[in-house]
Amino acid sequence: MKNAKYILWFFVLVLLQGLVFNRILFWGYLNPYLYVILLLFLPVRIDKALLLITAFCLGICIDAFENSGGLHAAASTFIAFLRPFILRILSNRQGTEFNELKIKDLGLRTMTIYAFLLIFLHHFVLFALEAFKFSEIGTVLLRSLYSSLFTFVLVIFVHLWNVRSK
Amino acid sequence: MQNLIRFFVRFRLLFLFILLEGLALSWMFSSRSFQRSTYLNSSRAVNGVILTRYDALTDYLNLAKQNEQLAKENAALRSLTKDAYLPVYTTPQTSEDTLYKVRYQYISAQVINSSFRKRQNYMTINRGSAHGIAPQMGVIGPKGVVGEVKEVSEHFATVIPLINPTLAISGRLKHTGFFGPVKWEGADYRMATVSDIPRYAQVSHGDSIVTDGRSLIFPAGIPIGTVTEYSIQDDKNFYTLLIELSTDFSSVDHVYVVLDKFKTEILNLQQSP
Repeated sequence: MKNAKYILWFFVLVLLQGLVFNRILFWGYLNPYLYVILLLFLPVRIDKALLLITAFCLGICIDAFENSGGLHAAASTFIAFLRPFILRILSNRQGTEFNELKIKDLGLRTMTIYAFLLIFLHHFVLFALEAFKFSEIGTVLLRSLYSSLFTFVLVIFVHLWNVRSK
Repeated sequence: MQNLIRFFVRFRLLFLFILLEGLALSWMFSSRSFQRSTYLNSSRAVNGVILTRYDALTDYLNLAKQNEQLAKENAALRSLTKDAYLPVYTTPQTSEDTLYKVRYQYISAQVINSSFRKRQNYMTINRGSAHGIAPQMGVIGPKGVVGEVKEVSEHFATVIPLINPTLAISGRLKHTGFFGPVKWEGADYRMATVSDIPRYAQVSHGDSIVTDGRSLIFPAGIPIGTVTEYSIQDDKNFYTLLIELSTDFSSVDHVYVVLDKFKTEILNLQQSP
């Protein structure tokens, strides 16, 4: 039953991203990639291999809409690989074990660090691979930062709404 | 042997990660190069259908603007029809055309997916090989040049627009005829550059840049853009012009694919020793 919820999320996010968020543009820099929210909030104890494969499939679906080869698949798989390490470091720092990835469990500060770090890493890999030129590192960093902030706000908004509605 | 197996089991996640990452990157690079990226292409059936439906929906949102554009184009075309001319000669004219043969044919199409804010921009149109589209045909819009057809499926085709750094077409100054390559630099979807215009050419702000008949992709004289700035290149002998593109790539919708009936004849002639 729980798994069905995540599978539904998967399809909803792919369609939302492909049909709505890919067409949003503010000031030439901001494109939110809300679909990473699925990778952020999959259960803590999910099998790591399954997490990697989910991220890869999610990325490929987004790529099919954007015509971008394996760009999103590469970025998504990258953060899916880093997620367990970042979670372990954060839980060691806080001295508690996380049961569920909710603000109530993690605290606002840890949640902000966790979500923003993963979103930023994802966006940075994405924009860096897309530009693929070292001379454009400044633009890439700027785009990653602005878009990450935008995605982050969206992610927190959706998360709070999701938690509250239960 | 057992150690080897233990090694693989221990680092299985790392191997899975490297495998998936390698797959993704190799797809990315193969789709970026000019070769076919047969899989993962939005000209593929499923996506094409979804995007057509979605496009039909969103078309209503900018219907007013599109209508205005089409109305203008209609007016321009109507002023070219026979009815718009006052007959001056009363001698009968036969329309048995042995002096002129049709060279260009235009196939109308609609853009169902496009991007303009990335470095590598692409478009998908709802015409394919079934309608006579083939790779490397030119695509023009109501206001000017749009791009070149890249890949074709049965009912859809992908287009490399002018705002993709891999496309280079030839443009010339309308008044003086000097020509040079038109390239997009990857920053602003409204601007492009024309380089290698000789220094002795007369250039001024607002000059029109139009297509050049040499490329066999577009008919000569289709607008590309207007000059906004110009500067001497590092080699001191040529100008580089910054031009504002005629086509607004953030709102392009109705386009025409250009079919050149004499292309093969010209190519055969040029290739023969």
